[in-house]
Amino acid sequence: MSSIILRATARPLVAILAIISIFVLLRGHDAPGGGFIGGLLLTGGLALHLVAFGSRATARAVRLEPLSITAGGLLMVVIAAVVPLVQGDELLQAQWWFAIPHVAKVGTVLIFDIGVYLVVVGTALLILLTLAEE
Amino acid sequence: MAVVLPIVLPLITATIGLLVRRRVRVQRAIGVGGALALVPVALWLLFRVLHSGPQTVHMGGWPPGFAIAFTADVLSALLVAVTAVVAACGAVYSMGQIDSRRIAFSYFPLFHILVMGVCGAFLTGDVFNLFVWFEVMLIASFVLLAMGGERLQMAGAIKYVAINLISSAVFLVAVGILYAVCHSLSMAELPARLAIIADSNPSLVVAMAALFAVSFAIKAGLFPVFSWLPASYHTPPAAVAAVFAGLLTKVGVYAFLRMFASVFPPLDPVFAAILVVAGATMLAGVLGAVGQGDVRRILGFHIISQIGYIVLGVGLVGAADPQVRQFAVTAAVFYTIHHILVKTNLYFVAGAIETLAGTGRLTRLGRLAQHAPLLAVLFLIPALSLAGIPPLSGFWAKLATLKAVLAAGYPLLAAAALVAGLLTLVSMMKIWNSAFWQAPPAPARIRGTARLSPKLIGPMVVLAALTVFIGLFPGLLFAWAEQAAVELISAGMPGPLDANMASGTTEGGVM
Repeated sequence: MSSIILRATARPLVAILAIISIFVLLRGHDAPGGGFIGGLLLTGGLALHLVAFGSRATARAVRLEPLSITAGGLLMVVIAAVVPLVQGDELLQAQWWFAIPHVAKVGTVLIFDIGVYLVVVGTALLILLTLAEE
Repeated sequence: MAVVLPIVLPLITATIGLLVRRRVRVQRAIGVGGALALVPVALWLLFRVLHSGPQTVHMGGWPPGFAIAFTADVLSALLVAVTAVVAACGAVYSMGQIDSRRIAFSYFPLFHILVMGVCGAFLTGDVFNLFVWFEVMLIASFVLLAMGGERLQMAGAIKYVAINLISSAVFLVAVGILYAVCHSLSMAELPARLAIIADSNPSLVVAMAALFAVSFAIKAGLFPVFSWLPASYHTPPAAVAAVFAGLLTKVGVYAFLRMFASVFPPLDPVFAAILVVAGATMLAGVLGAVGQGDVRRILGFHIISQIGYIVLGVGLVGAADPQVRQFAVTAAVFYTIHHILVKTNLYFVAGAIETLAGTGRLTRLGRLAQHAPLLAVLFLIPALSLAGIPPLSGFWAKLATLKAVLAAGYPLLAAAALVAGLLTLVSMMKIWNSAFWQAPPAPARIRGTARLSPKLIGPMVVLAALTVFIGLFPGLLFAWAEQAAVELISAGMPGPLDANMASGTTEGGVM
């Protein structure tokens, strides 16, 4: 099933998809994009890797357990939700700290989006690896 | 802040638990610690609500109408407080009963996500989010039911999830229609808008109410759509079944109370149907229990019959006399709280019986009163309370419901309630006789009280003490239940000002 053409093109494609996914994640607050779609893009790259090299190689390349990625993302979501509460605002109220020109505005919204990104990647990867093993 | 903490805290506990999921000991500590911490948080919320009235928060600081709203009134806060107590007891009991394989499979994070779903459903101020929290509960409870993967468990879990998904689909359709008609899903705005629409187009409101009623009836386990409950509640570990038995059906009951005592205007056909169904549920539940020979299966059928009693109170909201209406809702709230405590406790006892004797089948049990006298007492308290023997909490709950039914002029329903109560007593005596009193038919392998750790006994003692306390001092809880009923009904009775506002904005789109 895995051809040499696929294997040769998979690596650069995965890298490109990873970069695009981060781009989509960062522009997500004011423009179309965000954590969910970014996470799906990266998962698409990982799925390509899985088809080309097999599920073991993908699991080794990712290093972290999928569920740990999900848990880490969930933790960032919770932090982004609770930080404004500690500062006396409502739950999930956006706190902006500073902006990096042309890249992103940094604040709880970005932390929340990165958390969603990780939850999506972790969950989708878990599904992919489980299906590939069967 | 007080309003969202009962939702945020279980989420934090679940997240941390997921990060350390391989370490069984740390998992146990975090799972139990998080559940115990929820109790003071929930009591604080109850205290705030009782002293300074209903509290509403809007997520993200967005203006009302755009933000997701959470509202805590006395009913919500009371139920969240009871949920916290049951969750704490369930977590401690789980520590003594759930094997480390399940814990390594993220048992405690799932448990807390379930608790988060229950608290979220009680606290949300928006009908669509009620649906969302139902789904959160459904996903978590499905995994908890199926975890372990025994054949019987899978069969029960699949029935459970299939029937509940139908309920969710009906719910979603009903929410869609409601939004199309009212341009709002806020529980605070809906009563006034629905009252206006009910004047011009009553059949539309009846149709919507019927859709909601069908969905909630499945969730609550009403006649004739209760079959998922006895099929699934005896298969998972007792700790899981106890929390399910206490909380899950009661979220359906809460949805009934919220939507039919407060949001929908009292329209005759719907409430008459609810009354008939409630009566049938009481009888179907106790009659279903008669033929069963397993402790937990018997208890499962009794959940159904007790839900019937509670929903009687909801059906009486259609009564003409406002005093009867208020008293009926009060009785339903009181009954719900009583039933959560008692039923969870009975499942704990059933789990302890299974731990001691290795089985829950009545034909193979016997003489447990001799081997485990403390367990016998701990069974008798909730069992007699369930059957409505004074001076336990169930007596006052049944008395209040009966009074409401008679005041509304339904002697037949009152008779059905009495028959169901009598049969409940018979069922409890059946368990008592075969499991605790008679000699076992075959030489039973009782392993002695040494096997019952304080982690199992402690939660039972706490819940039994609460049952006795409510029984001896029913006035306190009754006053709170009455306050909850007054708030619920008054929210559903728009004053002239509200009606004017609503008629001005009904056609105005989002707000």
